[in-house]
Amino acid sequence: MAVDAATGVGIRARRASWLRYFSFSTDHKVIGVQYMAMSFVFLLLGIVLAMLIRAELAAPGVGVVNARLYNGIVTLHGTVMIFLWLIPALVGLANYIVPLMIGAEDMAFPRLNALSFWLFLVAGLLIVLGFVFGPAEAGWTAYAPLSTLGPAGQSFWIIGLIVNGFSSILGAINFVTTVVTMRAPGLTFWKLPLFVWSILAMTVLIFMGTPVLTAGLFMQLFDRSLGTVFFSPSGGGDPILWQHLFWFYSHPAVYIMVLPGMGALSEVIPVFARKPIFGYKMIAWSSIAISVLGLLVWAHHMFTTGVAPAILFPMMITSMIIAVPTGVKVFSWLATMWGGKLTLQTPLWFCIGFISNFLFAGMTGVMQASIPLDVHFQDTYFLVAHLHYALFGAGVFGAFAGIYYWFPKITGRMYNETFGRIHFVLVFIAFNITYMPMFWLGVNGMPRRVADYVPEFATANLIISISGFVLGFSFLIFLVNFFMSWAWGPKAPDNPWGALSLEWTLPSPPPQHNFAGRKIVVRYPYDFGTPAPGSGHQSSPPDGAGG
Amino acid sequence: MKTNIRQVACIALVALFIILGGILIGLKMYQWFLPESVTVESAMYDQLFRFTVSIAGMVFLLVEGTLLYVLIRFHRRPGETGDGVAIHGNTSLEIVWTLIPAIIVTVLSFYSYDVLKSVDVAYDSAASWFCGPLTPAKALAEPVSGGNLVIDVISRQFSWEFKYPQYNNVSSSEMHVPVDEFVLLRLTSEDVIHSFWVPQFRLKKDSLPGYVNEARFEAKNEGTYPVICAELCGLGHSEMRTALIVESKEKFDAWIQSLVSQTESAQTGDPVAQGRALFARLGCGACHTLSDVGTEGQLGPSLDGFGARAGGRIPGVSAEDYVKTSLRTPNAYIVAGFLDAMPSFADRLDDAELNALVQYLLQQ
Repeated sequence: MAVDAATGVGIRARRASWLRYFSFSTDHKVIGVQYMAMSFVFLLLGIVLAMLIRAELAAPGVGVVNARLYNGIVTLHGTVMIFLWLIPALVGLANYIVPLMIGAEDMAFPRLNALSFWLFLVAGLLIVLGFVFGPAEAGWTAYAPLSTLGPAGQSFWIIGLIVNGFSSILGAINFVTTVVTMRAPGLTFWKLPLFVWSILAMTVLIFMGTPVLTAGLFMQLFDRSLGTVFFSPSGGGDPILWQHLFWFYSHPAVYIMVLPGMGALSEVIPVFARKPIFGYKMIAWSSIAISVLGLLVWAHHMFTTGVAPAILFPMMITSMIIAVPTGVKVFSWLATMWGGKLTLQTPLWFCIGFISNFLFAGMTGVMQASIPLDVHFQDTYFLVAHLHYALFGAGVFGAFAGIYYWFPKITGRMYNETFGRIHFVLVFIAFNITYMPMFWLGVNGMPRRVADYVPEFATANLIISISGFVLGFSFLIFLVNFFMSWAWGPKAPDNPWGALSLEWTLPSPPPQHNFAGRKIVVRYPYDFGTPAPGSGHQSSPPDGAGG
Repeated sequence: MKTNIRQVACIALVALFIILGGILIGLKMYQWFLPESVTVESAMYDQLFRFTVSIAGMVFLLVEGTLLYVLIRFHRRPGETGDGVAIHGNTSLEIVWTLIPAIIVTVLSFYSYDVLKSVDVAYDSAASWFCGPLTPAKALAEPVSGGNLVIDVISRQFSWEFKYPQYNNVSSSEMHVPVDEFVLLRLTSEDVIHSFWVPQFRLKKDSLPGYVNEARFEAKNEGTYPVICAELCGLGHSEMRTALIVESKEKFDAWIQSLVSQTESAQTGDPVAQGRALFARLGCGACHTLSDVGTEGQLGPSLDGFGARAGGRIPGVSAEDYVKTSLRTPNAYIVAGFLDAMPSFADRLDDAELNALVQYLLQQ
């Protein structure tokens, strides 16, 4: 399809199209790009902080930064990467894509959507600026009572996260309402693209978990500024209560960061394998299962606290059971690729990287779900490795799979494939060299969040630091590709990958009101492939398939 | 039929390779990956580790192997067009790859429970199953019952103190335990959350303010092992380490008897000796270098030659007042180039102890 002159895309002045990203827009596409652009700004900050951590840890002894700065950097790195980079990047991507995928003109509440973004921006600035007023130095987990005692930046951190919480809750309400009420006529739940299923599961988690964290943050703020003693034993409070409130949100946060990537994989793999997704309904159900189980596992972060086994042991079992739905996803993706005709381009490479890294996150995740094993792993570099395999190896790789895949739709330009592959190779190799040795470090006695360590860990840490610098550099390749291609890349056709979901029926980039004035033809989005021998051509998954 | 037999043989071979390979990975990781195993409990841990890693090894070989095979076998050749085969699913296959992981995690849960029953005090009785091992901190004042050695682990920013309630409550900044004996730890914290970790024991327990937590172990090998704080506890977290010495019953008895008599003589002796004992007991050396007691802490200023400097530090403040204020409200005077990392000792020392510590420090 050629560029649609009637909608004005072809003739819109480029200057104006850039400027609208700096305005208070209620267009979900503009807001989506705003989210993603801001998240990349915060990503750069998070990378600089990570490089400082690795510089400090390159050799034993305290040298590059002092202990206060180090704890502040560790805290800000975790907070920025989770709350200001990965979640907003994924929310931004979903903001752009989900309404297009379901044939909607916009989100259900466009102004609320804009408010979510601007609240997120305020939250980000509060968290980052707080660093100047004496950095928050209790880690991104902010365990009381250490966090109650910390400097003023801790209060900025708390208020920032409260504001961010409101942004998340409003966004989640918006997404759930949009998916439930704004689907195009004929687009039933069992014809929804799996990306939409995973975003639905993700936003349900945000909606359930964030209010609990926000309440806990208020209590911590009151402990700091009003003299309450919710978490202080000296006044009859309980430091463990904070851990319950915190992890009730923050463990689901892991799935919040991984589910959208899983959704992206379920889109990219069938398109690049030219095969229907294998077990559509089982993948959709597994997202829901992860979402429900994800709310019932939080105490597995508290196996060493001395909380009663009556709480810990059932949560150990639920944590282990999560391996089942995640396993279903991995096996289904492999089965989708099996017998396909794989076009090995950047989005698919990132899917393959996701599966490979996620396998390690999953295996070590089951090990850490086992209480006796976790007692040794808890709070060590084993955990640091595990969480980076989950959040970076899976979450970020999934985000990149989605970003490369939808880049032509969002920008109207093709990215540079060679640069994309170099980016993948570099980030995949450097990622594994950086985080693999951390498993060993943790088991052999290196706790997390230390600025100094014993000399026997020097070699491993030096290797990690060097590889970490390469890993940080690899993001620059992506950014160069991103900006160069957006400015000068070849014009993207409407449907460069030959995909079947609705967003690809629109011009690239889509016109302002998406499908306004167009006829929406709903079809099963994974209807790829030549008919199997001996069976009729199926336009939707047979009822028996994974039902 | 011939193809069928070949297929079955092929699948059987791959399955055999995955199972044996997984077991091999489990055995090798068990040898290469883990630090020395010292206690009865760590030996059980290592068995569970070996079992779990063997299964993980099988999953690893299966998934990464399939991924590699798919990449090699099914990538699009140059000039190749067309789609893959339109297979939407396979119910029996999907049931298999849901059930097998479910069985694996069920087995792992039972095995974990079995290990927990032996290693964790919380699994000893129905009461502790439902209420947990945590008791209010005042429980430490109660007399110790039972024949096992009890050690009270007191943590504070940024040091460990080990008290022996069955031996006049004497205390030490290093932990000594006899080999081949059950030891019960009662852990608590004076300020923020710390976590007591001995990697060679596979033992970690949080030490919480306001609570007493419990852990137990039985060491099988003599040696010196690190005690590490695993929970971020403030600016000196990296330095919060000490030594755990497992020694023969005879050596342990000799050590504890000499500690008891030292403590008695320090209490009756001159304040300087008492101050020296306090310095060691409170773990001041975690942050301060002091050659007299052989500590090398770097977070705070060195105290070598302190007595000569203390008087001139703040104009109008005598050396004695300077030390007293620094112990009670450490942030009052910060030496240039150092952080306000030190906790207050105002509530932890009575007047006589404070005085003794001051006298000792002024003699350095």
